Amino acid sequence: MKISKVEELSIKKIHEALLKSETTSVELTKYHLERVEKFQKVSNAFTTITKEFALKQAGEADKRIKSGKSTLLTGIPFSVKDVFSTTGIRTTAGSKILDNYTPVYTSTVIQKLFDAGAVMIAKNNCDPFAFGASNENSGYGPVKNPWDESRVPGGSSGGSAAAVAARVGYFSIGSDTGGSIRQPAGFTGISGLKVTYGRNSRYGLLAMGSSLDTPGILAKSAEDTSIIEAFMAGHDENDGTSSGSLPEDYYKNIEKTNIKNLKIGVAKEYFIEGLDPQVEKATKDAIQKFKELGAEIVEISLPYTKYALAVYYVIVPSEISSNMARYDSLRFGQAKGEKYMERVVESREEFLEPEVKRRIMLGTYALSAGYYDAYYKKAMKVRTLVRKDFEKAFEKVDLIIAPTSPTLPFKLGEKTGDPLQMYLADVFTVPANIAGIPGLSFPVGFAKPKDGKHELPIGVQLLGKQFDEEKIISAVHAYQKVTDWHKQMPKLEL
Amino acid sequence: MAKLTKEDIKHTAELAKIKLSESEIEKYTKELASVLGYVDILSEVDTKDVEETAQVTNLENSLREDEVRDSLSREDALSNAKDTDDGFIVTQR
Repeated sequence: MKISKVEELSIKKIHEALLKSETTSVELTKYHLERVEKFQKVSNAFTTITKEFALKQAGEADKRIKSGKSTLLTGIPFSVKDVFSTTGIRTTAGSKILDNYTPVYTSTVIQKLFDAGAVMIAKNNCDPFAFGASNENSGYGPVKNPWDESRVPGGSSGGSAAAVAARVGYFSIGSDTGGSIRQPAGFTGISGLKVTYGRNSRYGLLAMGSSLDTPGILAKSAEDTSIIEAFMAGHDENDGTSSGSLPEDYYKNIEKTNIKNLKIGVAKEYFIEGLDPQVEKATKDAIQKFKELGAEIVEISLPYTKYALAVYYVIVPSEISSNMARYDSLRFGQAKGEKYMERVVESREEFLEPEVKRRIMLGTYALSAGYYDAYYKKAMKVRTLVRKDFEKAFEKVDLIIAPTSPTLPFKLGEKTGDPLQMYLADVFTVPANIAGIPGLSFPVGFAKPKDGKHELPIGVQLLGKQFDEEKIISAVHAYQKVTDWHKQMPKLEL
Repeated sequence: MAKLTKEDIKHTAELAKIKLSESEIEKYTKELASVLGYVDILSEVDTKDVEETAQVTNLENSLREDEVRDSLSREDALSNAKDTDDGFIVTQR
């Protein structure tokens, strides 16, 4: 590989290098496949390494580049969270129950990236069916944060975040139902985009909470996410919740928004007693930076914020309990037992991970006769109030800024003994999913925790109105032009 | 809210078709009680005259044209099943 530190290049720059024949997709892909193998040993960030598939795609990409018909993504290696179906390639969802599952169709958003010529080098390890905030629930073992191997990378897209942070591949596709892109992006010092619900098709994304699930992107910068999102977005006939509104070319418009015309809201409800003082300081520094860039900072209130997590942990397990009914060992997945009903109950017992069972149980209970009104119906009503909080706020401001996570990345095993403690990690990210609005988490600093030796990344998120990704991306891009937090990388020998 | 009992968990596990072990029943009774205790905070919210949100897209009836199209081939549809016979998925009675 002639290009030094080729893994650090932006998508724009690697694309230029390919066009100028400074490298080829095959050379680049081989280079990153080696990084995948080495990084896997220290991080466990992958479930399946797709070497042959990638080299075949890379060869086709090189032909396409030579013929002059390439796109910005042609020939560029990336990874995919293992909750996205990929034809002919094992898709585990991070759970043992699908250890032997090979989809016969490809997730729409992934197919679009394949059609653009991007090269998939691996499927990423993740919390099972995306249930988790630390990637410790995976049936394939936890993923380690490349900034400190004794800590979690966040979840559920932990493998995706770790890979991007380590510059293995140029981006990863993840999913965000309660913060599963933004929170691990925050814990690993990278940029994570959750788009508006319905902007990206959910077809082929193994369903978790169908009214909140959102495919999205983990990458090195807002600019990179804008390039990728332009290919992913759009209406899909195969997804009845897919938005008909035409996708914007966020990348072309990335310099369009003038920060000086933006009003950014700061909600006092996010600056609560569980917030780590170092996270708070980094957030306030970021707010100050936006002020220096010319944005107007406005105090707002989102009074129903404190109920959002409860809404989430009633609605999502309820939807989960319904979505998980399909894993009955009969049509696909691992099986144990012989007679029909024995096989169903034993297979689910044997192969579903504890967190998966936990959420199925919670949801089944909340939806069961006698409890539906008190739990699920009530949560659906409070969901309306959380949505209205944002609608009212966006009458006054264009964007809302908030810390992504209340804490620094925690240690492996620190929260696994108490599910409720783990759920509280989502407190700042779930409101956006409940309301269906977009958000981008980006790195704003580092801090050393009391119980650790290494500096750890801190992420902040910008939230926007439905379908207003353009403003969010442009604002973060403006911030990233005058700061270099997003250029920092963990020290790794790969 | 009524306190969650082991009987509740056993019943829920039956509905969810998961054969839990005794130690799991104990564990989940405790853990679920803790989470349910937390979400109880919703009962203090005044939701009189508030409509439920079932979905956030404001879309209605996203249906396609009723025309015959290609679907999954039988071979594909059966490709992940353990036991098949003459186009059927087989399980023991």
